[in-house]
Amino acid sequence: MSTPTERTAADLIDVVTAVPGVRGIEPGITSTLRTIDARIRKLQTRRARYGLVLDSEARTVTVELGLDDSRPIREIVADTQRAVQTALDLSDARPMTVLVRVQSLTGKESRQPTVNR
Amino acid sequence: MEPQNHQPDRRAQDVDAAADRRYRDLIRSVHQEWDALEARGDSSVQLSQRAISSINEAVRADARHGAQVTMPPTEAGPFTITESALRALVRSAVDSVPDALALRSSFEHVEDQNDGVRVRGLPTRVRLQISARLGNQDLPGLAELVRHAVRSAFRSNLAVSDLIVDIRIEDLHEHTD
Repeated sequence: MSTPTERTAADLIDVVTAVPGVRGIEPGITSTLRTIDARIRKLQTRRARYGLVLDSEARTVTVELGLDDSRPIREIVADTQRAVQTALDLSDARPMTVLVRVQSLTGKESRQPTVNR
Repeated sequence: MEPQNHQPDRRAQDVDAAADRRYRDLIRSVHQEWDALEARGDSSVQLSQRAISSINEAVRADARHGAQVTMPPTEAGPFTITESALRALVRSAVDSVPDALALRSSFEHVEDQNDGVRVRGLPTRVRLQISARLGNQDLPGLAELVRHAVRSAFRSNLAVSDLIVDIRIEDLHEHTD
């Protein structure tokens, strides 16, 4: 059974992007540079993915997402947090804190005015 | 006086949405590339041109998204939302009101003590500039509907209550689709 420290960012990306209302991963600058740094130094590359930072010591996961407007934002965020916690906490008594950063919100096409000729 | 062929300019919002879509697609393709290389046991540095391009795109995305805004936590954990996503929420709420179109919005926030210039506290006030359909006979009533729609959107999506909504009708447009 995998432990939180063995779960990889790559695994969690799949968990997160399967949540209804999540459009995709949208990394910020900090997670982008950390990911690039990890890959250049070949540090456990399976743990390095854009938009998802897994800090086992601080027991936090930071996820950076784009959402759609199919459901209320809080519902999508809470479902994402629960999905990540469920994926991580299989054999550990202390839950991880999952911080979600909503980077963008994409809705229906905006209405455009027309001229009645 | 006959009205001019007048359409409020909302192209910037559509350009941002398209840029966000392309950015997500780029990130997805880089992740697929890494998944495939790792599955083959490739331990090279794996920084393709595409992966390096993502650094430039991350900088552009950061400028587009603006600062992070702290939100009331969900029952499952904390979250933040960017200034641009907040504006998208406002725009959607305003556009849902017949005869109204969102133009611009800006926010005031509770001062956040924890972080630097890129983090804002809870929004307390939003200032809206909207366009009203030419011929609407009750502009104060329209403004009140917009106010209600925006407050309702913030309550249901973000658990933010008591948002002060200031509205300025800046433009008149003809029919919308």
